[in-house]
Amino acid sequence: MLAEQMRQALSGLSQEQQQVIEWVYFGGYTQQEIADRHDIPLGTVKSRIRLGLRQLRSQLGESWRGRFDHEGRT
Amino acid sequence: MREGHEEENRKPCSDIDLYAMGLLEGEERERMERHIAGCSDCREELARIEELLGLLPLAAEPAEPPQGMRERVLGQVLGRPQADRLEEDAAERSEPALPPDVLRFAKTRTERTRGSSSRTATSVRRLRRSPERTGQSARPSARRKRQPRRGPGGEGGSRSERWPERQRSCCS
Repeated sequence: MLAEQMRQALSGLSQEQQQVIEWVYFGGYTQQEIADRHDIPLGTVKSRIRLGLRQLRSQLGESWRGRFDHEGRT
Repeated sequence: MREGHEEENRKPCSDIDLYAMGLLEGEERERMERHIAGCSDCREELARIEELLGLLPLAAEPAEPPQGMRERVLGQVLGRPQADRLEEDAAERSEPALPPDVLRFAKTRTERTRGSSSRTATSVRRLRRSPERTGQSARPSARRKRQPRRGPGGEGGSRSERWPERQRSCCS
């Protein structure tokens, strides 16, 4: 189940990386808003996003690619 | 590490993750777009990242929506008369008018935003644009204005070239 794979991959990120990705992607906050609201340096916010996405890809490997086509089917 | 790219903070390609998430603005965004237009490696990298981001909504945890939320959401999204008809039909079938995962995701978002109805509707609209529904990568863009993102040009069919469509307001 791809959803379970995604949840497991996210759980493999550090708490800080998960939080930042959640705030940006699901919450729609800008980097500056996150930095201001949570008193985190802007550069740190950027680093956590970058490292979080890279870690996510590392956790998932390449097995997920192609399982989701352009029409939204898995 | 991709050949021909250096991992210096000032190089555009180092910000491609941020660009994919719509976090670059102004000069940074334009510089990245110019770079992507001339770099096939970065276009490919961008496509991978966007594909991954499109799957993130799948990780949302299931949750039950609060009482009355379905009516509020349908009322905002569809307009009152249509929402009422859908609710009546759903009640007769004893099932939610919205797909359960939409309700669950909207409920999760509502909890986080402490009952902001505008953000709830935004979340539902966002999920309606999720890959499971439209085939496009979900983008957290509804709550803040952005300039349309121009595609890199060249051959058609690139995910980047669909950015302007996704950037349109879904509030009309």
